[in-house]
Amino acid sequence: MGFNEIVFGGMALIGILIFLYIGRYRAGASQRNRGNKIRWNFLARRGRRR
Amino acid sequence: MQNRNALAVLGRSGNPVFRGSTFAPDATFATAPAAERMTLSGTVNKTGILLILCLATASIVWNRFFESGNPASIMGLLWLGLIGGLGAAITTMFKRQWAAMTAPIYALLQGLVLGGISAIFEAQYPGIVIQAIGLTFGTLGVLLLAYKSGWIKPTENFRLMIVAATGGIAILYLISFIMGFFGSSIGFIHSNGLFGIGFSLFVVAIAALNLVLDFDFIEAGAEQGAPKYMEWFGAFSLMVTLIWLYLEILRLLAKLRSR
Repeated sequence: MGFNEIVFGGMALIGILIFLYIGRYRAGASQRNRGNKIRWNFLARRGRRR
Repeated sequence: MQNRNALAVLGRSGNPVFRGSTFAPDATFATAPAAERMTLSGTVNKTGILLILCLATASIVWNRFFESGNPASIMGLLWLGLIGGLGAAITTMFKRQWAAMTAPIYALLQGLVLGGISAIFEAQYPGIVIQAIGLTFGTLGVLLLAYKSGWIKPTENFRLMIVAATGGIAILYLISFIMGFFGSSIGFIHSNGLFGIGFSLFVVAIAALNLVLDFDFIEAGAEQGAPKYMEWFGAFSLMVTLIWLYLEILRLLAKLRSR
């Protein structure tokens, strides 16, 4: 296994592990509790639309 | 207000998978039992499944190419993956409820395409595929951290920018594709000059920023208790962006190596 494989293979592995671990947790409060979030058009529940 | 109008015209997301009505018509949301709602964990698991499926078929094509050493030996599988994958993607976009079935089919078929393209690039530039894989998943990890920590905060204007840029790139590729039938092409897209590399860098950046929209959509879906099948749809949308990002990084690296 060469340097190329170790560096980029390691990078891929770390990226996947971050995704598998961090991806399961909710975003921080500063991300969730802000007024300028994207409206994904799905606040139609209970007959309400923005 | 102008931004709103532009969004209505261009669509609601940079990712073609996310149309404005993504959650609207069939969403049962909070009325569904907790076990039948979309979760972050479920979406991550399903993305993992799609990645494994994609890798499985990619390795078949990859091995076939290096055993025969002849690109013609994989062309049938490559076209099957390309056309079938496009069909599966379109079906998933219009029938989200079927995503549990169509998303794995999409991943399997796209694996054929990625395995074939990767093998051809690897034969020409040894070591390029592991570099592209590393940079793709590295970007995924870094952007996910940036999103979760609140360092990148996607807004309506951010989405408008990504929508416009993605649409522009799509139109440019379409024109180039059509021109190809007449023996012509848009030169700078494929050139390995400074402008060609700059263009590739721009496309990679836009593809990467589409990941942020994916994260936001998935986070919002889980927060609002979207139906369970949206986990498959979220995983599918992430796959679409990751595959695009991987191919663009591969092209960029090939341009750099060919100089």
